[in-house]
Amino acid sequence: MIPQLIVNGIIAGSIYALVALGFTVIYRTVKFFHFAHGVVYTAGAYLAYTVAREQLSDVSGQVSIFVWIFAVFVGVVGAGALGVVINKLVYYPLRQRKASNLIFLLASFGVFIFIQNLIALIYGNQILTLRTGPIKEGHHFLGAVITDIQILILVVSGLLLVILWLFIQRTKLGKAMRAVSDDPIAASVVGINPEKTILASFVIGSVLAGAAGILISLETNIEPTMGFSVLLKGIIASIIGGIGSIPGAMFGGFFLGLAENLGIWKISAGWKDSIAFAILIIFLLVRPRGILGTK
Amino acid sequence: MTDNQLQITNNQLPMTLLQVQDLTVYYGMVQALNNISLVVNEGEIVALIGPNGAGKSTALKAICGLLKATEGEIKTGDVTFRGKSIKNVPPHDLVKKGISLVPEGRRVFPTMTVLENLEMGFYTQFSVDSSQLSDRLNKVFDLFPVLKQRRKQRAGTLSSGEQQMLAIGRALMLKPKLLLLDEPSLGLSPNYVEDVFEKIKEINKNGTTVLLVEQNARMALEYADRGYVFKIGEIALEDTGKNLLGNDEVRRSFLGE
Ligand SMILES: Nc1ncnc2c1ncn2[C@@H]1O[C@H](COP(=O)(O)OP(=O)(O)O)[C@@H](O)[C@H]1O
Ligand SMILES: [Mg+2]
Repeated sequence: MIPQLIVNGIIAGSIYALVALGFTVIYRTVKFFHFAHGVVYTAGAYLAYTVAREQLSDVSGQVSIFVWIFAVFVGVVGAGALGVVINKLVYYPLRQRKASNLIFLLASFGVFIFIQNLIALIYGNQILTLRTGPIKEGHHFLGAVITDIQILILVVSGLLLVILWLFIQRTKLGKAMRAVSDDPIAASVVGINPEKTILASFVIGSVLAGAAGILISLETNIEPTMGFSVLLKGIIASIIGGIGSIPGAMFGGFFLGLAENLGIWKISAGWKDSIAFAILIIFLLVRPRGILGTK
Repeated sequence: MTDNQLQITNNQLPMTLLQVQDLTVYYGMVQALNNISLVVNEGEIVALIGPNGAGKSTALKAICGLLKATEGEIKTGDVTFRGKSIKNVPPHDLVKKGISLVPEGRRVFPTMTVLENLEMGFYTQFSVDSSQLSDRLNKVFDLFPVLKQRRKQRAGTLSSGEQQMLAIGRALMLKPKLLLLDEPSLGLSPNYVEDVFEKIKEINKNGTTVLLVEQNARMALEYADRGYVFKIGEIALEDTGKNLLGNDEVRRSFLGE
């Protein structure tokens, strides 16, 4: 039982880590909680579904690899574009007006609900299924069972985490994003355009959210409200890891996934969400700066 | 015109590098500067002194486009650099024109290493020519050897004096024509203050014009060619550094004599 819970925890954790990471990348440049991040994740899944849908109604139920690649491409690019549009149409005008953080939070919630309802309007409230084909027997591995799809989720999210880390550490744009995160005024003084950097962070963060949404839809059903709980988990993971810390978001994601899944070893699975919130409260009380946070 | 003739004209007329004309600045309803004018000529060190709240930082922010970030607004007047208006040019565009700022409170990037901080100073040229980057780094390390020793350390772990050196080094990475410094001595131990001013003098000798704001009026005037004395949003006095040091009113108000 324990090996299986660990495997489940790592898989859930990799999705949380992707969402937390995107959320953190954006948080670092804008310094407010971009709640609408959760609905970008949903949008990624639905966009990929839209492309694959034609094929899903096939008799065989098999989707060709090219359609998959195109579906992933549309989902990821669409999620990135959605992040850019939210920034441009909502946050940018608010920044120009020097809106308070509370206004940003409210606006962000508003965007979340608006887009979630839009998705429900277009696709309906019922659950949809993106995964196709017969369910295959998983691989047995150290007493746990792991499916091909789960391996794919682990490999892709692992790759994305590494690529993002290298990008932030090594590239010119990545360094500019770190500089803006440290001190936006000092960054502008050395010639960094803060708006360009914010734009880049929305692209990168939203692409990560879209990728997470597509990955999870290979494993479970999708529905318009799917973004809410994963957003909360992503935020909890970011806070556990240390808000604003990139390694913290990765670490916090896996920590939360494992804690939730190992937690239900002794108690019923219905308590999963409560475990996440209990951990959040413990951290807020005992170590508010998180595991890897500074200050 | 030959180089020689150019040299002669340059020697005869001081070249105006920066000109602030009839500048009035408000923060919302509060007036911070009332119709001030000042000039910085090529090659000079110019100091702006005066009591806290007199508007010195506001003048500097108006020059380097940082007013908007603090909700200030230029109501009237103009700022020109080499004859062209730079009024309301955002700070990230100014560095390309040859103006670098060392902001009040140093503002290094605390989670980045010393080396990365200096690279950020070279940001707008970054990856264009990396041999130029190492050349500039070496020049900054020559000026501030301590930064070379500490290059792998996070900037947030440096002492305030070292952070000031780093902030100045970062501003020098693009070889600016004009270096603006806001309170370079603030929060430094007395022996560091002298160090910093010696470095500023050296930077100036190497061809960079300097405009600085200082509360430490004595030190600033000792090193400055000329100075302006601010008093509640206006310029009360303007003279050479030496004359201001000898001025009775300045001695009474700012030098504690
Ligand atoms: N961001 C701001 N918002 C409102 N008022 C400000 C702001 N910054 C400065 N001021 C006001 O403008 C005046 C000049 O301030 P400042 O330029 O910082 O003076 P100095 O640098 O000479 O100490 C002061 O009265 C100060 O209170
Ligand atoms: Mg000041």
